[in-house]
Amino acid sequence: MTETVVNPADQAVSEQDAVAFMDSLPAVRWDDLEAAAEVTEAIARRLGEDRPLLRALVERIRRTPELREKCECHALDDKLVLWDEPEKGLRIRLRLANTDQYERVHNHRFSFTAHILSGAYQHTLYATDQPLDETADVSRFWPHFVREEPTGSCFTIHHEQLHTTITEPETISLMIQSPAAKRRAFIIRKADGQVWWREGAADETAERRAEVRMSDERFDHWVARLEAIGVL
Amino acid sequence: MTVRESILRYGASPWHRIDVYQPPQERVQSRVVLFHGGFWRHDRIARDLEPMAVALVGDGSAVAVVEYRPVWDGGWWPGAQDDCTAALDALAEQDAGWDTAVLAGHSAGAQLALAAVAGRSAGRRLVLLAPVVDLERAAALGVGGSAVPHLVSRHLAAGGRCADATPRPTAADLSALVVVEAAADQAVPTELVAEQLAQWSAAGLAPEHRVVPQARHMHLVNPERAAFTTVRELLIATAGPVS
Repeated sequence: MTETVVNPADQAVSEQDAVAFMDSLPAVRWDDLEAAAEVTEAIARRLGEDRPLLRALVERIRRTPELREKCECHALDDKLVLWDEPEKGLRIRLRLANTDQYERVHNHRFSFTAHILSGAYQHTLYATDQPLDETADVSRFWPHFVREEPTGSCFTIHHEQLHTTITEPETISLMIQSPAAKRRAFIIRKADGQVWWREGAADETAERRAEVRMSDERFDHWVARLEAIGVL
Repeated sequence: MTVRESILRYGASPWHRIDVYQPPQERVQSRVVLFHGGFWRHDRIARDLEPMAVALVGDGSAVAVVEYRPVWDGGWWPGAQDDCTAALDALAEQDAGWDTAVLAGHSAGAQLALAAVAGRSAGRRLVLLAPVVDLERAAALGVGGSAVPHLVSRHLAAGGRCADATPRPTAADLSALVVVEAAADQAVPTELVAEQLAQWSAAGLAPEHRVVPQARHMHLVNPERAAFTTVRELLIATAGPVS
């Protein structure tokens, strides 16, 4: 039987080969979350095991303006967008956790699969019995699932699922997300109950886009850190 | 209805899995092995055929749905084809009754089903649903977009030809070949089906050809669709009694 070939760490992958590989990935049907989970978790593990391929994809971001523009910095984490193919249900990015962490119960505009490449998540799922708006009472979000997601863990959650992920500093995860299922996602800070929303880039102001865009210096910092951590 | 479910693993990859669905032992009247499509990259996966498998269990069939590696995870030609051959061997090793099961492949799964039996002179019975088998013609017609070029990319890089990946069974390999075409198939053009039928006829395989009116590509494997009635009847008729 033919063996699965994973590139050895010292063998570079050309940009052309990386793109050909990514082009060969399947369309993901996010309306069937179980099927989407099976396929996206396999894709995430395949990418996570292949450092030369990941390195080629990260380096390609520099030369691909439509991806570079989507690399962002936020309070809790930064992101590098590796691949964006919404017609196949595939936006693939690296989530790079910053050192400052606080607990905020939130859902997402999209369903997604996360594969922890380095570090760990303290992952808690929540239930509530109230509308998700500015009147939400922070005391009425009840944790019903708590576990640590260690390096190597992979999970898929629906965009409506409320959760928190407290990460160790420099936790790196590979995320595969669906196209947006709603225009804004709910966030409430556990410490004081402040509610706010996260919108998609299309709904953000130019000022906001400029504010979150990752600088070249920050991009270089993350590439160096990814190499040092051993993800690339 | 009672469905006995089990998983048979036939290799080291998580994709090396066969999902087996069976009625109570005394009710097994026939056996069917299914190969899913999805253009070798897993736009579809084995679990997508679970409703079809359960429907066939209701008819008294034991059903095995073969999972195999996608192109991007080791399945580039001949990987997925080797997987499917190994899966058939694993089934027969578990229970010799699977040796006489009817094999059904949907779309790209038809190429894998045919490849798994070609050259074995085992006289297998096959039902091909909206088959994509002639890979040169499929590529020329743009069937599946770049799926065929991706499937054979490594083979071509090693000096091989796309035609090498098209299975060419002989009359000794097949005792029955039924080809089901969906009349409104949006994924597999009738031109490709017609050319493949002509090739198989020329090879002395005497294919039986059925066209299901108004059916689209996935209707053939969806028990909720009227087209599945035809597929079900053909599978039962082709499978014959269990040995």
